[in-house]
Amino acid sequence: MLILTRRMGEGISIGPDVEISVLEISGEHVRIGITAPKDVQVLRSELRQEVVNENRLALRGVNRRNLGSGTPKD
Amino acid sequence: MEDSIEEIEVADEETLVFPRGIVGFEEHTRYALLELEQPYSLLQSTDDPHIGFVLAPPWLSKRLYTPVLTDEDRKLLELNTDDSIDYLCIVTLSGDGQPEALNMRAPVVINRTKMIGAQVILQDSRYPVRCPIAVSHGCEGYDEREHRSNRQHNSRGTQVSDRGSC
Repeated sequence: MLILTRRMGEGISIGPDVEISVLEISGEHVRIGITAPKDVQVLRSELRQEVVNENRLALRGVNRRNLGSGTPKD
Repeated sequence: MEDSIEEIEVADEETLVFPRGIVGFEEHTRYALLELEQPYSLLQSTDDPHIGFVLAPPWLSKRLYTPVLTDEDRKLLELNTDDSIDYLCIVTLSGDGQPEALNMRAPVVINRTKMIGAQVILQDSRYPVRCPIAVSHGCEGYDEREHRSNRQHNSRGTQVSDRGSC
């Protein structure tokens, strides 16, 4: 991981197309601006990781699946 | 315990292409959608037999589901107004193999007309990543009233196959 220290108003450039700006620092919170091409998905890390973790959980035991019982009648 | 692998043949025209794979499994881009016990299906990677996800329709949560796709999502799915789309949720199973939860925050969206799919992480934070399925109670902890006041319609004429209202 590359670690940089930035002040308010400073930025980080990632490749030719992605810019990160430190907009505001307030207590424990940092307001960050992100400029990226539309096809690059920008997400809070915890959300992406949550989805990855849930997908991994979903993979486990797929071969032991037991779906026949208890399907709700609609 | 060794997994026994059953071989089946899937024609190219029945193969779904996921240009970005499934989140966390981006390297696998070709899948077949196989029917299981109703209403479940299996999204099976044709690249790796160990990668397969049980999918279920969102109506199993017994809640109204109106996911909104961004322009980028539509572009990825090559979605035109005449295309038919399905939303299916990845199912997490319990230790004894029973369906336990639906991922409503990141549905698998399939453009049936073009056979292109993606797992889309929705912006809407009201949909949970882990929506417990109880046969009688549906999705716990999801507030239908809050959802109704902010409902947006997908007004671009695509068909959304969700059933479901409370």
